[in-house]
Amino acid sequence: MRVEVDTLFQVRAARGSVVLGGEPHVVHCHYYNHFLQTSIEDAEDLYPVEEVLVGTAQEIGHSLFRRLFAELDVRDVGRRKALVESIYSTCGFGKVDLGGVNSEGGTLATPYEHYAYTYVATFPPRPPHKRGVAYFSQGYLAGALEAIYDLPLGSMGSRQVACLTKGDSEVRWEFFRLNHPLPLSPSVGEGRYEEAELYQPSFTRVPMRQIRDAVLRLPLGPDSETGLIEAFGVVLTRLPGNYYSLISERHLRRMVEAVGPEVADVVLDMLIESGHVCAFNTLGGVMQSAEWDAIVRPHLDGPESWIYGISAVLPALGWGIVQISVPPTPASWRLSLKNWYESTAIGALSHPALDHSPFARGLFSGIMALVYVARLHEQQVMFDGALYRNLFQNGRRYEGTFVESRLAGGTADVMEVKTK
Amino acid sequence: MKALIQCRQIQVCAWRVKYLLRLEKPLETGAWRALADSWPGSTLQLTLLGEGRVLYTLSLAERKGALTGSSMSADIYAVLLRAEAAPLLRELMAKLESLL
Repeated sequence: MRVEVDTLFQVRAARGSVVLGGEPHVVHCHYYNHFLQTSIEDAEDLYPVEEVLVGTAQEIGHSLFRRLFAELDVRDVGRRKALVESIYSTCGFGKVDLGGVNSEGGTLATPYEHYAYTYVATFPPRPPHKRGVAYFSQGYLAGALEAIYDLPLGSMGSRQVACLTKGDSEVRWEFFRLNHPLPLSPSVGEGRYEEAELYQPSFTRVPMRQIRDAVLRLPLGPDSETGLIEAFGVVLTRLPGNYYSLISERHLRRMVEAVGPEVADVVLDMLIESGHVCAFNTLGGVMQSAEWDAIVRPHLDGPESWIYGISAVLPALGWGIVQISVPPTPASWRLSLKNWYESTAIGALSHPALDHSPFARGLFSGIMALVYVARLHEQQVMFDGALYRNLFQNGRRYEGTFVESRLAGGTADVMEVKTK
Repeated sequence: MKALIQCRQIQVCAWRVKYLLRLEKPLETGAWRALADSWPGSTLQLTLLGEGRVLYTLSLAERKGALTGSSMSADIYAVLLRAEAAPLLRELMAKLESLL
Protein backbone atom coordinates (compact mmCIF):
# COMPACT_ATOMS: atom_id res chain seq x y z
CA MET A 1 0.00 0.00 0.00
CA ARG A 2 1.45 3.36 -1.02
CA VAL A 3 0.61 6.19 1.33
CA GLU A 4 1.05 9.86 0.37
CA VAL A 5 2.03 11.08 3.79
CA ASP A 6 2.81 14.64 2.73
CA THR A 7 -0.89 15.36 2.39
CA LEU A 8 -1.49 14.29 6.00
CA PHE A 9 0.61 17.11 7.47
CA GLN A 10 -1.62 19.99 8.52
CA VAL A 11 -0.08 23.45 8.33
CA ARG A 12 -1.43 25.64 11.13
CA ALA A 13 -0.31 29.06 9.95
CA ALA A 14 -1.72 30.86 12.98
CA ARG A 15 0.38 28.66 15.26
CA GLY A 16 3.53 28.44 13.17
CA SER A 17 3.22 24.70 13.39
CA VAL A 18 2.92 21.64 11.17
CA VAL A 19 0.87 18.87 12.72
CA LEU A 20 0.55 15.16 12.04
CA GLY A 21 -1.57 12.87 14.20
CA GLY A 22 -2.05 15.68 16.71
CA GLU A 23 1.71 16.07 17.10
CA PRO A 24 3.49 19.28 16.04
CA HIS A 25 6.49 18.28 13.93
CA VAL A 26 9.62 20.41 13.74
CA VAL A 27 12.60 20.37 11.39
CA HIS A 28 16.05 19.91 12.88
CA CYS A 29 19.39 18.68 11.59
CA HIS A 30 21.60 15.78 12.60
CA TYR A 31 24.10 17.99 14.39
CA TYR A 32 21.44 19.30 16.73
CA ASN A 33 19.90 15.84 17.17
CA HIS A 34 23.22 14.33 18.16
CA PHE A 35 24.29 17.21 20.37
CA LEU A 36 21.13 17.02 22.45
CA GLN A 37 21.03 13.24 22.61
CA THR A 38 24.73 12.82 23.41
CA SER A 39 24.58 15.50 26.08
CA ILE A 40 21.72 13.68 27.79
CA GLU A 41 23.36 10.30 27.26
CA ASP A 42 26.48 11.55 29.04
CA ALA A 43 24.45 11.42 32.27
CA GLU A 44 24.01 7.64 32.01
CA ASP A 45 25.96 7.08 35.23
CA LEU A 46 23.60 9.40 37.11
CA TYR A 47 20.22 8.09 36.05
CA PRO A 48 18.83 5.60 33.46
CA VAL A 49 18.79 7.87 30.41
CA GLU A 50 16.86 5.33 28.31
CA GLU A 51 13.82 6.10 30.43
CA VAL A 52 13.95 9.63 29.04
CA LEU A 53 15.26 9.08 25.51
CA VAL A 54 13.27 5.92 24.70
CA GLY A 55 10.26 6.36 26.97
CA THR A 56 9.45 9.85 25.67
CA ALA A 57 9.60 8.64 22.07
CA GLN A 58 7.33 5.72 22.95
CA GLU A 59 4.73 8.04 24.45
CA ILE A 60 4.75 10.22 21.37
CA GLY A 61 4.73 7.33 18.88
CA HIS A 62 1.78 5.75 20.67
CA SER A 63 -0.26 8.97 20.91
CA LEU A 64 0.52 10.01 17.34
CA PHE A 65 -0.49 6.75 15.68
CA ARG A 66 -3.49 6.07 17.89
CA ARG A 67 -4.85 9.43 16.87
CA LEU A 68 -3.88 9.15 13.22
CA PHE A 69 -5.43 5.70 12.83
CA ALA A 70 -8.64 7.06 14.34
CA GLU A 71 -8.61 10.22 12.18
CA LEU A 72 -8.16 8.17 9.02
CA ASP A 73 -10.30 5.26 10.22
CA VAL A 74 -7.48 2.81 9.49
CA ARG A 75 -8.30 -0.45 11.28
CA ASP A 76 -6.47 -3.08 9.25
CA VAL A 77 -3.06 -4.05 10.70
CA GLY A 78 -1.45 -4.21 7.27
CA ARG A 79 -2.60 -0.71 6.39
CA ARG A 80 -1.54 0.59 9.78
CA LYS A 81 1.93 -0.85 9.30
CA ALA A 82 2.20 0.67 5.83
CA LEU A 83 1.24 4.05 7.23
CA VAL A 84 3.87 3.85 9.97
CA GLU A 85 6.53 2.81 7.46
CA SER A 86 5.65 5.72 5.15
CA ILE A 87 5.63 8.28 7.94
CA TYR A 88 8.92 6.96 9.28
CA SER A 89 10.58 7.67 5.92
CA THR A 90 8.72 10.89 5.16
CA CYS A 91 9.97 12.33 8.44
CA GLY A 92 13.53 11.38 7.54
CA PHE A 93 13.98 8.74 10.24
CA GLY A 94 15.19 6.19 7.69
CA LYS A 95 13.66 3.00 6.33
CA VAL A 96 11.86 0.33 8.28
CA ASP A 97 9.87 -2.76 7.30
CA LEU A 98 7.35 -3.83 9.93
CA GLY A 99 6.73 -7.24 8.35
CA GLY A 100 8.67 -9.03 11.09
CA VAL A 101 6.64 -7.91 14.10
CA ASN A 102 3.26 -8.84 15.54
CA SER A 103 1.27 -8.10 18.68
CA GLU A 104 3.82 -10.02 20.78
CA GLY A 105 6.74 -8.04 19.36
CA GLY A 106 9.58 -9.32 17.19
CA THR A 107 12.70 -7.97 15.57
CA LEU A 108 13.12 -4.97 13.27
CA ALA A 109 16.31 -4.19 11.39
CA THR A 110 17.43 -1.52 8.95
CA PRO A 111 20.69 -0.24 7.46
CA TYR A 112 19.18 3.26 7.36
CA GLU A 113 18.30 5.00 10.61
CA HIS A 114 18.89 8.75 11.00
CA TYR A 115 20.82 8.80 14.26
CA ALA A 116 22.98 5.76 13.53
CA TYR A 117 23.72 6.59 9.90
CA THR A 118 24.68 10.20 10.53
CA TYR A 119 26.64 9.39 13.68
CA VAL A 120 28.91 6.94 11.87
CA ALA A 121 29.39 9.35 8.98
CA THR A 122 30.13 12.43 11.04
CA PHE A 123 31.58 11.65 14.43
CA PRO A 124 34.52 9.69 15.86
CA PRO A 125 33.84 6.07 16.93
CA ARG A 126 31.88 5.65 20.14
CA PRO A 127 33.48 3.99 23.15
CA PRO A 128 32.87 0.21 22.96
CA HIS A 129 30.86 0.07 26.19
CA LYS A 130 28.21 2.46 24.85
CA ARG A 131 24.91 1.13 23.49
CA GLY A 132 23.66 1.98 20.00
CA VAL A 133 22.44 5.50 19.26
CA ALA A 134 18.95 4.74 17.87
CA TYR A 135 17.04 5.63 21.06
CA PHE A 136 14.37 7.71 19.34
CA SER A 137 13.44 5.08 16.73
CA GLN A 138 13.40 2.39 19.40
CA GLY A 139 10.78 4.19 21.46
CA TYR A 140 8.85 5.60 18.50
CA LEU A 141 8.50 2.16 16.92
CA ALA A 142 7.55 0.54 20.25
CA GLY A 143 4.78 3.13 20.62
CA ALA A 144 3.74 2.62 17.01
CA LEU A 145 3.49 -1.15 17.55
CA GLU A 146 1.27 -0.60 20.57
CA ALA A 147 -0.99 1.63 18.49
CA ILE A 148 -1.04 -0.78 15.55
CA TYR A 149 -2.26 -3.62 17.78
CA ASP A 150 -4.48 -1.47 20.03
CA LEU A 151 -2.28 -2.23 23.03
CA PRO A 152 -2.02 0.05 26.05
CA LEU A 153 0.79 2.58 26.23
CA GLY A 154 3.83 1.08 27.94
CA SER A 155 2.97 -2.53 27.24
CA MET A 156 5.72 -3.07 24.66
CA GLY A 157 9.29 -3.36 25.86
CA SER A 158 12.24 -2.79 23.56
CA ARG A 159 15.99 -2.91 23.33
CA GLN A 160 18.52 -2.05 20.67
CA VAL A 161 20.75 -5.04 19.92
CA ALA A 162 22.81 -3.88 16.94
CA CYS A 163 23.98 -0.53 15.61
CA LEU A 164 26.08 0.90 12.80
CA THR A 165 28.00 2.70 15.55
CA LYS A 166 29.01 -0.67 17.03
CA GLY A 167 30.41 -1.93 13.72
CA ASP A 168 27.24 -3.82 12.78
CA SER A 169 25.87 -3.63 9.25
CA GLU A 170 22.42 -2.62 10.43
CA VAL A 171 20.45 -1.17 13.29
CA ARG A 172 18.36 -3.83 15.02
CA TRP A 173 15.83 -3.68 17.82
CA GLU A 174 13.90 -6.34 19.68
CA PHE A 175 10.35 -5.72 20.89
CA PHE A 176 8.53 -7.82 23.47
CA ARG A 177 5.38 -7.68 25.54
CA LEU A 178 5.81 -6.68 29.18
CA ASN A 179 3.97 -8.23 32.10
CA HIS A 180 4.09 -4.93 33.93
CA PRO A 181 3.61 -1.83 31.76
CA LEU A 182 6.14 0.96 31.73
CA PRO A 183 5.03 4.10 33.63
CA LEU A 184 4.47 6.27 30.57
CA SER A 185 2.04 9.13 29.91
CA PRO A 186 0.24 10.12 26.70
CA SER A 187 1.87 12.90 24.74
CA VAL A 188 0.86 16.51 25.37
CA GLY A 189 -0.08 16.84 21.68
CA GLU A 190 -0.52 20.48 20.67
CA GLY A 191 -0.04 21.42 24.29
CA ARG A 192 -0.75 24.91 25.58
CA TYR A 193 -0.93 26.39 22.10
CA GLU A 194 -1.54 30.01 21.22
CA GLU A 195 -2.33 31.71 17.93
CA ALA A 196 -1.10 34.86 16.21
CA GLU A 197 -0.51 36.35 12.80
CA LEU A 198 3.04 36.48 11.48
CA TYR A 199 3.66 40.21 12.01
CA GLN A 200 4.91 42.23 9.06
CA PRO A 201 7.17 44.96 10.47
CA SER A 202 6.66 48.30 8.74
CA PHE A 203 10.38 49.04 8.88
CA THR A 204 11.46 46.27 6.48
CA ARG A 205 10.59 45.25 2.94
CA VAL A 206 11.29 41.58 3.73
CA PRO A 207 7.93 39.88 3.04
CA MET A 208 7.58 37.65 6.09
CA ARG A 209 4.47 35.71 5.07
CA GLN A 210 5.59 35.29 1.47
CA ILE A 211 8.88 33.74 2.63
CA ARG A 212 7.18 31.46 5.13
CA ASP A 213 4.73 30.22 2.52
CA ALA A 214 7.45 29.61 -0.06
CA VAL A 215 9.55 27.61 2.41
CA LEU A 216 6.48 25.56 3.37
CA ARG A 217 6.20 24.53 -0.28
CA LEU A 218 9.82 23.35 -0.53
CA PRO A 219 10.04 19.62 -1.18
CA LEU A 220 11.93 18.42 1.90
CA GLY A 221 11.41 14.80 0.97
CA PRO A 222 13.48 11.75 1.84
CA ASP A 223 15.83 9.87 -0.44
CA SER A 224 13.88 6.90 -1.79
CA GLU A 225 16.63 4.42 -0.94
CA THR A 226 17.64 5.62 2.51
CA GLY A 227 14.62 7.48 3.88
CA LEU A 228 16.96 10.27 4.95
CA ILE A 229 16.33 13.95 4.13
CA GLU A 230 19.36 15.73 2.71
CA ALA A 231 19.11 19.49 2.41
CA PHE A 232 21.18 22.62 3.09
CA GLY A 233 24.32 20.48 3.55
CA VAL A 234 22.88 18.67 6.57
CA VAL A 235 20.57 15.71 7.17
CA LEU A 236 17.15 16.81 8.41
CA THR A 237 14.39 15.19 10.39
CA ARG A 238 10.78 16.24 10.88
CA LEU A 239 10.53 14.99 14.43
CA PRO A 240 7.67 15.59 16.86
CA GLY A 241 8.71 18.75 18.68
CA ASN A 242 7.36 17.40 21.95
CA TYR A 243 10.20 14.89 21.92
CA TYR A 244 12.90 17.56 22.08
CA SER A 245 10.98 19.62 24.62
CA LEU A 246 10.14 16.75 26.93
CA ILE A 247 13.56 15.09 26.90
CA SER A 248 15.07 18.50 27.77
CA GLU A 249 12.57 19.03 30.61
CA ARG A 250 12.89 15.48 31.93
CA HIS A 251 16.66 15.51 31.73
CA LEU A 252 16.78 18.66 33.83
CA ARG A 253 14.38 17.17 36.37
CA ARG A 254 16.25 13.86 36.58
CA MET A 255 19.60 15.59 36.93
CA VAL A 256 18.36 17.78 39.77
CA GLU A 257 16.92 14.71 41.49
CA ALA A 258 20.19 12.81 41.04
CA VAL A 259 22.72 15.53 41.84
CA GLY A 260 20.90 18.42 43.47
CA PRO A 261 19.69 21.88 42.43
CA GLU A 262 23.22 23.14 41.85
CA VAL A 263 23.39 21.09 38.62
CA ALA A 264 20.50 23.00 37.02
CA ASP A 265 22.76 25.75 35.63
CA VAL A 266 25.00 23.15 33.99
CA VAL A 267 22.02 21.51 32.28
CA LEU A 268 20.58 24.86 31.24
CA ASP A 269 23.90 25.84 29.74
CA MET A 270 23.93 22.63 27.71
CA LEU A 271 20.42 23.35 26.44
CA ILE A 272 21.44 26.90 25.50
CA GLU A 273 24.41 25.42 23.68
CA SER A 274 22.04 23.16 21.75
CA GLY A 275 20.49 26.36 20.40
CA HIS A 276 23.90 27.55 19.24
CA VAL A 277 24.51 24.20 17.54
CA CYS A 278 21.17 24.50 15.78
CA ALA A 279 21.69 28.11 14.68
CA PHE A 280 25.13 27.30 13.38
CA ASN A 281 24.35 24.11 11.50
CA THR A 282 20.68 24.20 10.52
CA LEU A 283 20.16 27.93 10.10
CA GLY A 284 23.71 28.56 8.89
CA GLY A 285 23.13 25.86 6.29
CA VAL A 286 19.84 27.44 5.28
CA MET A 287 21.40 30.91 4.94
CA GLN A 288 24.04 29.61 2.54
CA SER A 289 21.84 27.57 0.23
CA ALA A 290 20.23 27.69 -3.17
CA GLU A 291 16.82 27.76 -1.49
CA TRP A 292 17.79 30.89 0.45
CA ASP A 293 19.21 32.50 -2.69
CA ALA A 294 15.98 31.86 -4.59
CA ILE A 295 13.36 32.61 -1.96
CA VAL A 296 14.80 34.99 0.61
CA ARG A 297 17.91 36.70 -0.69
CA PRO A 298 16.22 38.78 -3.40
CA HIS A 299 14.50 40.67 -0.56
CA LEU A 300 17.60 41.30 1.55
CA ASP A 301 19.94 44.23 1.85
CA GLY A 302 21.55 45.08 5.21
CA PRO A 303 22.29 42.78 8.14
CA GLU A 304 18.94 43.35 9.86
CA SER A 305 17.13 42.06 6.79
CA TRP A 306 18.90 38.73 7.26
CA ILE A 307 17.44 38.55 10.75
CA TYR A 308 13.94 39.20 9.40
CA GLY A 309 14.50 36.69 6.62
CA ILE A 310 15.56 33.81 8.83
CA SER A 311 12.82 34.67 11.35
CA ALA A 312 10.27 34.27 8.55
CA VAL A 313 11.64 30.79 7.80
CA LEU A 314 11.15 29.48 11.36
CA PRO A 315 7.33 29.04 11.26
CA ALA A 316 7.81 26.89 8.16
CA LEU A 317 10.11 24.66 10.21
CA GLY A 318 7.24 24.31 12.70
CA TRP A 319 8.97 26.11 15.55
CA GLY A 320 6.37 28.83 16.16
CA ILE A 321 6.11 32.47 15.14
CA VAL A 322 8.76 35.13 15.67
CA GLN A 323 7.33 38.65 16.03
CA ILE A 324 9.72 41.57 15.61
CA SER A 325 8.22 44.89 16.59
CA VAL A 326 11.45 46.82 17.20
CA PRO A 327 14.30 46.82 14.65
CA PRO A 328 17.30 44.79 15.83
CA THR A 329 20.69 46.47 16.12
CA PRO A 330 24.17 44.95 16.47
CA ALA A 331 23.83 45.52 20.23
CA SER A 332 20.38 44.11 20.92
CA TRP A 333 17.31 42.36 19.55
CA ARG A 334 13.95 42.22 21.27
CA LEU A 335 11.47 39.68 19.97
CA SER A 336 8.25 37.92 20.91
CA LEU A 337 7.70 34.24 20.36
CA LYS A 338 4.19 32.98 19.67
CA ASN A 339 3.44 29.30 20.12
CA TRP A 340 7.15 28.59 20.49
CA TYR A 341 7.18 24.80 20.42
CA GLU A 342 9.20 24.30 23.58
CA SER A 343 7.01 26.61 25.67
CA THR A 344 3.85 25.12 24.23
CA ALA A 345 4.87 21.54 25.05
CA ILE A 346 6.28 22.19 28.50
CA GLY A 347 3.47 24.61 29.34
CA ALA A 348 1.07 21.70 29.18
CA LEU A 349 2.83 20.00 32.11
CA SER A 350 2.00 20.70 35.71
CA HIS A 351 4.92 22.17 37.66
CA PRO A 352 7.61 21.95 34.96
CA ALA A 353 11.26 22.22 35.90
CA LEU A 354 11.99 24.62 33.03
CA ASP A 355 10.69 28.17 33.46
CA HIS A 356 11.69 29.31 29.97
CA SER A 357 13.01 27.91 26.68
CA PRO A 358 16.80 27.63 26.94
CA PHE A 359 16.94 26.38 23.35
CA ALA A 360 15.48 29.72 22.19
CA ARG A 361 18.10 31.62 24.20
CA GLY A 362 20.88 29.85 22.34
CA LEU A 363 19.16 29.92 18.98
CA PHE A 364 18.48 33.65 18.77
CA SER A 365 21.88 34.51 20.22
CA GLY A 366 23.27 32.28 17.50
CA ILE A 367 21.40 34.14 14.78
CA MET A 368 22.79 37.44 16.05
CA ALA A 369 26.32 36.00 16.06
CA LEU A 370 25.95 34.66 12.52
CA VAL A 371 24.80 38.03 11.22
CA TYR A 372 26.82 40.52 13.22
CA VAL A 373 30.01 38.57 14.00
CA ALA A 374 30.35 36.12 11.09
CA ARG A 375 28.77 38.80 8.85
CA LEU A 376 26.94 36.33 6.66
CA HIS A 377 25.26 39.19 4.85
CA GLU A 378 28.57 40.41 3.44
CA GLN A 379 30.44 37.27 2.59
CA GLN A 380 30.31 33.54 2.07
CA VAL A 381 31.53 32.09 5.33
CA MET A 382 33.38 28.84 5.95
CA PHE A 383 31.37 26.82 8.47
CA ASP A 384 33.85 24.71 10.39
CA GLY A 385 35.00 24.08 13.93
CA ALA A 386 37.12 27.23 14.00
CA LEU A 387 34.14 29.47 13.20
CA TYR A 388 31.99 27.69 15.79
CA ARG A 389 34.62 28.21 18.48
CA ASN A 390 35.01 31.85 17.48
CA LEU A 391 31.27 32.52 17.68
CA PHE A 392 30.25 30.45 20.67
CA GLN A 393 33.13 29.13 22.72
CA ASN A 394 35.88 31.75 22.92
CA GLY A 395 33.59 33.92 24.99
CA ARG A 396 30.03 33.96 23.71
CA ARG A 397 29.32 37.19 21.88
CA TYR A 398 25.60 37.37 22.57
CA GLU A 399 23.35 36.30 25.39
CA GLY A 400 19.61 35.77 25.21
CA THR A 401 17.33 36.20 28.20
CA PHE A 402 13.59 35.94 28.67
CA VAL A 403 12.04 39.24 29.74
CA GLU A 404 8.74 37.43 30.12
CA SER A 405 8.05 33.71 29.89
CA ARG A 406 4.82 31.76 29.62
CA LEU A 407 6.51 28.96 31.58
CA ALA A 408 7.12 31.34 34.47
CA GLY A 409 3.50 32.50 34.63
CA GLY A 410 3.75 35.29 32.05
CA THR A 411 1.21 35.88 29.34
CA ALA A 412 3.80 35.89 26.54
CA ASP A 413 7.30 34.78 25.61
CA VAL A 414 9.43 37.91 25.17
CA MET A 415 13.17 37.69 24.67
CA GLU A 416 16.05 40.08 24.53
CA VAL A 417 19.38 39.23 22.95
CA LYS A 418 22.26 41.50 23.87
CA THR A 419 26.00 41.68 23.44
CA LYS A 420 27.84 40.35 26.46
CA MET B 1 42.23 35.33 -18.04
CA LYS B 2 39.42 35.47 -15.55
CA ALA B 3 38.18 32.08 -14.38
CA LEU B 4 34.63 31.27 -15.46
CA ILE B 5 33.88 29.64 -12.13
CA GLN B 6 34.97 30.64 -8.66
CA CYS B 7 34.94 27.81 -6.18
CA ARG B 8 35.33 27.77 -2.41
CA GLN B 9 34.55 25.52 0.50
CA ILE B 10 31.85 26.89 2.76
CA GLN B 11 31.20 23.97 5.10
CA VAL B 12 33.31 21.02 6.09
CA CYS B 13 32.96 18.14 8.51
CA ALA B 14 34.41 14.63 8.77
CA TRP B 15 31.76 13.36 6.38
CA ARG B 16 31.20 15.90 3.66
CA VAL B 17 32.27 19.17 2.13
CA LYS B 18 29.93 21.88 0.88
CA TYR B 19 31.27 24.01 -1.95
CA LEU B 20 30.00 27.23 -3.42
CA LEU B 21 30.52 27.47 -7.17
CA ARG B 22 30.01 31.01 -8.42
CA LEU B 23 29.31 31.24 -12.15
CA GLU B 24 28.94 34.32 -14.30
CA LYS B 25 25.20 33.82 -14.69
CA PRO B 26 22.55 31.34 -13.55
CA LEU B 27 22.49 27.99 -15.33
CA GLU B 28 19.43 27.44 -17.46
CA THR B 29 17.28 24.33 -17.35
CA GLY B 30 18.95 22.84 -20.43
CA ALA B 31 22.37 23.12 -18.81
CA TRP B 32 21.07 21.46 -15.64
CA ARG B 33 19.72 18.61 -17.77
CA ALA B 34 23.10 18.29 -19.46
CA LEU B 35 24.74 18.11 -16.05
CA ALA B 36 22.32 15.38 -15.02
CA ASP B 37 23.18 13.41 -18.15
CA SER B 38 26.86 13.48 -17.20
CA TRP B 39 26.57 11.14 -14.25
CA PRO B 40 24.73 7.80 -14.48
CA GLY B 41 21.96 7.33 -11.98
CA SER B 42 21.60 11.02 -11.24
CA THR B 43 18.19 12.64 -10.94
CA LEU B 44 17.25 16.25 -11.51
CA GLN B 45 14.34 17.74 -9.58
CA LEU B 46 12.83 21.05 -10.66
CA THR B 47 10.76 22.93 -8.10
CA LEU B 48 8.68 25.85 -9.36
CA LEU B 49 8.77 28.64 -6.79
CA GLY B 50 6.36 31.02 -8.54
CA GLU B 51 7.01 34.11 -10.65
CA GLY B 52 9.07 31.98 -13.02
CA ARG B 53 11.64 31.07 -10.40
CA VAL B 54 12.98 27.52 -10.46
CA LEU B 55 14.96 25.60 -7.84
CA TYR B 56 17.19 22.85 -9.23
CA THR B 57 18.28 19.85 -7.17
CA LEU B 58 20.58 17.37 -8.85
CA SER B 59 21.19 14.19 -6.89
CA LEU B 60 24.34 12.30 -7.90
CA ALA B 61 23.20 9.04 -6.38
CA GLU B 62 26.16 6.87 -7.36
CA ARG B 63 28.66 9.44 -6.09
CA LYS B 64 26.64 10.30 -2.97
CA GLY B 65 26.64 13.98 -3.82
CA ALA B 66 24.12 16.70 -4.58
CA LEU B 67 24.05 20.01 -6.42
CA THR B 68 21.50 22.74 -5.87
CA GLY B 69 20.99 26.03 -7.65
CA SER B 70 18.26 28.31 -8.84
CA SER B 71 17.23 30.46 -11.76
CA MET B 72 17.66 33.47 -9.45
CA SER B 73 21.33 33.09 -8.68
CA ALA B 74 24.62 32.35 -10.37
CA ASP B 75 25.66 30.37 -7.30
CA ILE B 76 25.56 26.57 -7.21
CA TYR B 77 26.03 24.61 -4.00
CA ALA B 78 27.68 21.19 -4.13
CA VAL B 79 27.60 18.83 -1.17
CA LEU B 80 30.13 16.06 -1.78
CA LEU B 81 31.44 13.13 0.19
CA ARG B 82 34.77 14.16 1.62
CA ALA B 83 36.51 11.06 0.29
CA GLU B 84 35.18 11.70 -3.23
CA ALA B 85 35.21 15.47 -3.17
CA ALA B 86 38.45 16.27 -4.98
CA PRO B 87 37.98 14.10 -8.10
CA LEU B 88 34.26 14.79 -8.34
CA LEU B 89 34.81 18.52 -8.00
CA ARG B 90 37.30 18.39 -10.88
CA GLU B 91 34.76 16.55 -13.04
CA LEU B 92 32.07 19.00 -12.08
CA MET B 93 34.18 22.06 -12.82
CA ALA B 94 35.19 20.67 -16.20
CA LYS B 95 31.59 19.95 -17.09
CA LEU B 96 30.45 23.38 -16.00
CA GLU B 97 33.23 25.06 -17.98
CA SER B 98 32.06 23.20 -21.08
CA LEU B 99 28.49 24.40 -20.53
CA LEU B 100 29.30 28.10 -20.09
